[in-house]
Amino acid sequence: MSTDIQALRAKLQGTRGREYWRSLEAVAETPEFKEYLHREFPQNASEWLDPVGRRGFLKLMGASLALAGVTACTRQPDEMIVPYVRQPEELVPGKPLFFATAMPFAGSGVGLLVESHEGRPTKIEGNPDHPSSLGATDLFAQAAILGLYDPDRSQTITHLGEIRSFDSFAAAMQTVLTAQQGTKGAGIRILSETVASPTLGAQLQQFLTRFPQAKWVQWEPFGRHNAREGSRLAFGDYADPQYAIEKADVILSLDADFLCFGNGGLKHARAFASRRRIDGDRAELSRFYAVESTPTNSGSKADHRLPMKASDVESFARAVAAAVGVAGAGSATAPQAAQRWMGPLVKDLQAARGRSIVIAGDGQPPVVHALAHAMNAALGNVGTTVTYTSTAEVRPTNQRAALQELVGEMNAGTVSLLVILGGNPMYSAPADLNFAEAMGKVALRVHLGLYHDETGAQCHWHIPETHFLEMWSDVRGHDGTVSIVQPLIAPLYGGRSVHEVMAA
Amino acid sequence: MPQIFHRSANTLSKVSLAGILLLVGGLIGLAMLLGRSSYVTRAQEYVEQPVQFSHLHHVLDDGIDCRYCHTSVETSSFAGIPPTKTCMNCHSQIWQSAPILEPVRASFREDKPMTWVRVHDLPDFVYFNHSIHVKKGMGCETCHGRIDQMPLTKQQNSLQMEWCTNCHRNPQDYVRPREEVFTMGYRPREDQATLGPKLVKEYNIRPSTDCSTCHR
Repeated sequence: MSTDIQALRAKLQGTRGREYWRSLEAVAETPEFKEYLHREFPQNASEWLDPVGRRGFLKLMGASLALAGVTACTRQPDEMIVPYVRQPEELVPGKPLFFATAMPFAGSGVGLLVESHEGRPTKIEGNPDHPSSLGATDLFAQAAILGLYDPDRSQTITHLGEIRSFDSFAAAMQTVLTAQQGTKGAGIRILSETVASPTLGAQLQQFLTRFPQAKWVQWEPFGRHNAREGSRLAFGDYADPQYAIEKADVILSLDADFLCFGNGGLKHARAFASRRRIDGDRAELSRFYAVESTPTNSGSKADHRLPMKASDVESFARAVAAAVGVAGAGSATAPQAAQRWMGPLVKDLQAARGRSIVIAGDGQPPVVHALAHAMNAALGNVGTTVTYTSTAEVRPTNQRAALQELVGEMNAGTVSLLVILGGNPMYSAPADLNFAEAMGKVALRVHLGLYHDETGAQCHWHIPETHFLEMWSDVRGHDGTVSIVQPLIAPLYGGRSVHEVMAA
Repeated sequence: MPQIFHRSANTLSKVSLAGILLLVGGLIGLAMLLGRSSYVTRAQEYVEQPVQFSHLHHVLDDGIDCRYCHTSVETSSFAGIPPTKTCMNCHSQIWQSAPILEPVRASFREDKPMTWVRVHDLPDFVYFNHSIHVKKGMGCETCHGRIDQMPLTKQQNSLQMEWCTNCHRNPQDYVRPREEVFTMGYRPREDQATLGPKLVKEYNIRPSTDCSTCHR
């Protein structure tokens, strides 16, 4: 809107007393501004101006609102009862049955009791007899039932986007494998998630015996890479620490949410709670120090919680380690904020020799894990509150290094067959490895997965995987207990389990 | 100025006022009658089934107990419709070539379940549990009528909330000894007015009329 400043001045000179305006346009009183002021909506704004249409609409809306209750006046539609032809044993119609199974997740398994109504699993709860569960479940197990019925799951075997049968897949694989026999499988790479199933481990081992030059690589995006490497740093070999939280009087957590995640989180939560209950006049409460970079559930339960940058935890751990007598911990000084905090902590830890625990978080680098192991040893906790078992995983490796090597080989063109067993590495592999581009150089790519995802779309063959509630398998719990995974229902979408694919 | 209305208009206006009231009242009454009618409740209505199964024959003539087929009535919310196997227990021996039983044989042969139409169909927002009613001395007959005299199964009662609450408020009028639950044509051996309250006390019957008892 153009305004003539001179004209405005002249106009304002003629005015006296109180006169207010909100803009120069208002003073100028141009016809455009007047129109703008009096129109309810600006020009070109969509306005429902057709009076008949608008009224008609409101009338209809009013009528449908008033008559909404009338739908209750209809008679009920017929409902069918479809009984069994031969009713399964032990089944009482209207009552659920419970089946024990286990959920493989991120390199270990949790025992479950799954409620089933007339053959359909409906609710997942923990198995009280399983050491990793003790009757409890975490949020991943609770949500797993929704994954079973997810309509977005992939439902057909495809080859280059066309639907194929499993037999034709098996035949195609046989041809490729026979061709690879000459080079002892030098061009074959198998990429799986962390395998904690002894059966699958044996199957893979069998395959590697047949093709000694083939390689099996594991990649778990949400894996416990640091904890695994930390144990190797400390002991020279992979091991899983087992914590007896219920025996510990003093607990130090180095950025670890051990009550929720990691191996045995459910068991830890229960053990921790058992030392927090005042039973009559018996009150042997444990003392829990938490150092953490993000607020966690574990930290909220701590007696003493110290927020700390994740990068500072290492120097803090070194300082504490040196104070409790770990040789070779270095002479790092704890961050400023922790100086005052450290004194009582070290005193407590030393007073509770053999009755304390130091736990490092999965997000912390391997060296912090190694320091935690060293502190536990120095404090005499090993054998009392901390024990070590061989890993729940069948074959622990440095997954990051293995994946890197795989990408290198794919780029070099030495991989001719890539079999991806579960997961979505296209999406979950570290971006700087450029996994997608490297995978494009592999001559034949096979993907077994629950979803036809990024990886499935880029693979020649895609096979729908069975949900763990649809398949037979086995899995080790966090402490090495082997549980049977038994199916609750026949595969909904004709999926194949990883065992069937390996057998083909 | 002459009168506009004749004197008779007074009577006419009074009559029409009363008429309007009557009409409105009548309409409301009609709606209530319709709501309770068997057209809406589907009581006393015969339903087309895949096999015209006769309770009259199986219960009265053959003397089969309710629980031979409705196995879960004492343990589950659902009384249970028998699997085809239960029919074939007998009908592989008797009437094994009767044309009326062909759907049953076909179901057993092809492993395809029978599809029965539900006769007693409560709305989906109502929770009902058979086992607790059986356990507290509520006879089959009380709700389902003389099923042993029905050649074809029909719904005896309205199954409306009014009907449910009637018993939930006065259980002593309907309760019977537990051993008589499955009896058809039961007559109380002593006066229901004395037996009823006695059994209510003995069985600890405290039927709730909370909304959430059934609408959970």
